[in-house]
Amino acid sequence: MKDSLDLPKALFEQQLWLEKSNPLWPVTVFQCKRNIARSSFPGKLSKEELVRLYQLIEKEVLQFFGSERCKMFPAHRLSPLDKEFLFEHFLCCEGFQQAGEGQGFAVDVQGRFILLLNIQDHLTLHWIDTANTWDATWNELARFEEALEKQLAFAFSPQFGFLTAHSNDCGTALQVLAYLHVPTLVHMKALDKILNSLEEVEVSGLEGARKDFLANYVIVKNAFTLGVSEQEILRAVHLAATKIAGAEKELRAQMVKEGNAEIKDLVSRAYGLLTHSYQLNIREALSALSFLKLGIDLGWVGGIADPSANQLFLQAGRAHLLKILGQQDEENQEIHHHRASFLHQKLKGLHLKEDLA
Amino acid sequence: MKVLDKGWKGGNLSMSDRPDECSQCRRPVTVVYKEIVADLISCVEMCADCPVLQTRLHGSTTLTSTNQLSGNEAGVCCGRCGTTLLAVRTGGVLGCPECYHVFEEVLVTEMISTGKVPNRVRKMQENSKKQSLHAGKAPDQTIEYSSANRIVNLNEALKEALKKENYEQAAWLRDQIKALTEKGDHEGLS
Repeated sequence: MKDSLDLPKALFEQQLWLEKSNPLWPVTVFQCKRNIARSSFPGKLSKEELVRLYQLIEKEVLQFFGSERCKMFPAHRLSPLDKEFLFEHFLCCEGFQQAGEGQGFAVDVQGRFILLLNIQDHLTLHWIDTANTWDATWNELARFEEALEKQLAFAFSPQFGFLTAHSNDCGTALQVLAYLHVPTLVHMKALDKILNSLEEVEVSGLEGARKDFLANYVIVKNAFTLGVSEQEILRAVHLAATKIAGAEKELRAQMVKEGNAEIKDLVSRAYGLLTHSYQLNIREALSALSFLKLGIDLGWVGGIADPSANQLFLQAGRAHLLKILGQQDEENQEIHHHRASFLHQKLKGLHLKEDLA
Repeated sequence: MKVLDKGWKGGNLSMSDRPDECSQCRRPVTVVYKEIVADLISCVEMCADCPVLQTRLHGSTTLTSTNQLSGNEAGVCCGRCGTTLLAVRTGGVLGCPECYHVFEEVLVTEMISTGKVPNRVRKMQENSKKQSLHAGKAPDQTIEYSSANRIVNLNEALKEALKKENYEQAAWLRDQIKALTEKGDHEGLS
């Protein structure tokens, strides 16, 4: 690759995940899409038009944030591994591996937001909140959107709201996704009853399917972008996520009281896998890390704090792992072994406490 | 159509936006199509009528612009970007802001029939076609969100927890309310 760019160093340190977090609700994603009124959507633009539009948006972005806070990365100057790294870091839903000239990203050097330029829409504002600072995160996104609107004039109609390339996203064009870690609700099959009582939200797992909650993560997001206001979306997702997290808390307390042997066994096995495996695929690793997080919260596992376990969730991802190990894409044949070794190293001080020993 | 699992060759968890519906035509999922090519497994959920399913099974779609649309509709397309009505009807992406105006009727019918708007909005639309679907902010508006909004939610959840005698949950919610209230006081909120 010619003239490639390096991603900001802070992204690799993931300090973001070491801030004060909520063990049951580690992260929320706010994603908002906008298109410029006088231009066709990216799918209908020529390369030259995409480049012109990219430069126009880049100018406004840098004017707002400054080049110290926000770095621009044209897609054709990033390696596939770098794109995959960004996808993992920001918990993106929209794939951008194929992005090329005229497309790209504006990345906050602290890793709190990424702006996708000319991927599906002209601009996708994507903020992540790992410190339970919901209001501050949302307000920063809203202020930026407002400032940009004054300069670029977004496509809007009174009937459909903000216009997006996919009609499913129009209206507020806002998706709020609350990531909840709820291993006891999943394993004691107590989730469905709560989910059925929730309104105006829908639920998925890390892989999108509701039936399989990989690593016991449940993602709550707004079911509608059209016909509802931004406040209604924020309220619905926050309320639903609060109720689910609260139910998990209650069930954990009940489980500790009753001494559920099955869950204790799952935590012990996770400990074994993470500290003694020769190979670990991503599913095994995330699942084991999930039970490790549960063990930490219940005081069954020592030697690691919850934010560090959150950090490991990201670092176990393929792109993060390869970047940390300083390896390239083509050298990843032994990725499962590298993952297991990396986790052994990171979890050296890990130990089971009396309740599980 | 929803790709569930691209396999771990690519390493990413595929996080789809719309879990329980076919994103091609936005109907409920009835078919799971799994394809194994070398060491890459892709699993796709779609509706039984999905043109993508036909393409995958028979190599070509059974739907054509002439047999799916009436004579008048077949040639309808956006004058600015060339997006066709067929593309819109099969859930394809729109080409430009003008498409929303050209295909307004089709889009509104589709959004209402596939539950893309809340029931209350659907009912309002049935009563008055003039009622616009959008309920969010206009371009010149600002939407602020304060910790007071979160406290209202937490109080509602707390009330429900106490009603169900879930005291552990209630204590956890109280702690959060306290933390947010203290933060609000510190920041000068009421």
